[in-house]
Amino acid sequence: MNRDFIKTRMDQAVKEMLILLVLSAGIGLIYNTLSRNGLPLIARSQVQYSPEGQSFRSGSENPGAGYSDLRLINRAAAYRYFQSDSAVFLDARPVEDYLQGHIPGAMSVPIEKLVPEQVAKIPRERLLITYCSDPDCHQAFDLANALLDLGFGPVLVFHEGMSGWRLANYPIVRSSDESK
Amino acid sequence: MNLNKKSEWLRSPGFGLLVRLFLGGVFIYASLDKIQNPAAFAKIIDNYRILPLVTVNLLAIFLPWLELIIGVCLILGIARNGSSFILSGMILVFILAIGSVLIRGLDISCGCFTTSSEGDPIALKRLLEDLGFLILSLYLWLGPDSLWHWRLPRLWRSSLPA
Repeated sequence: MNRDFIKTRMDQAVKEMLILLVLSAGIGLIYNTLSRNGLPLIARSQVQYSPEGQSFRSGSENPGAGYSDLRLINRAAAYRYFQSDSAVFLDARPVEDYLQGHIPGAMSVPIEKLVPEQVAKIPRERLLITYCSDPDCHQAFDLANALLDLGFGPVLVFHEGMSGWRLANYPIVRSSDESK
Repeated sequence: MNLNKKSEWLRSPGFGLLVRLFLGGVFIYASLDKIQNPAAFAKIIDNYRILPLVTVNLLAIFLPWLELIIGVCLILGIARNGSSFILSGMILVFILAIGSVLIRGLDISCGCFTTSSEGDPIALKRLLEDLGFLILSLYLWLGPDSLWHWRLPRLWRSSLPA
């Protein structure tokens, strides 16, 4: 089986391939348009984004998203809360991630190993903001839901997480820095 | 000589036909549930966390139909080069996707044969299965002509090398 042989097969394949791809895409799109189960062509995020964290609802287009009525804030809003020290940040990631770098002053509350002693340390009178690693992670949402269930007051989700915070070049501390 | 005789079945047109029927059946079967439940399939694709969200629905609309059409082509023996080439490509992509899920340790459902969230977890089994499919599919692409196959009409391949 030499190279020329594969090349010939490849050349023959290309045209047929194009036809088959276009055919599938065409039928798929037509079927999707006509079908009752059709999807919007561009998927939208499950959680509707609100820059100031005021209005919020999880999308109804995606059943089973599971997150009800959580308030989201973007990095600019999160940074304002951070600067004015008007909220407590809660890091929902595993402790190892927290130790490698977190928002200054944030408490480590790893949702996957939530213990009562940690919950007891969370101040009840203050605004809480949860976050995890990036917009795709779920821990911040899970933590916010858990806290709301436990009767904690206003909880916001900084859904861009550490990656968003890093992108904006906002300050980050490692735990070793903080203990100095 | 003996070796040649033993591997003769590999070159027989009948074996190629069997492989075509098998892979075609597998892919048609795999496509049907996804075509009926595009939303569930889109969710599964999203769970792989490989593609950006904007492309997820498009793929969920397109991929099942590609599987179905390739499956039909294989069974009927139409456009053998193109369909077995796409087939190999698809299987390779599946292998990479499943491999990356296994490496990252995500616990998600495969969406290989069903869009239901139960009973179809990603496991090494799926990877090995796909490796087997890939070998068969490459055989179809590079191997000898099988029984009862047709090329696309001359119009389509007029510019192809003879």
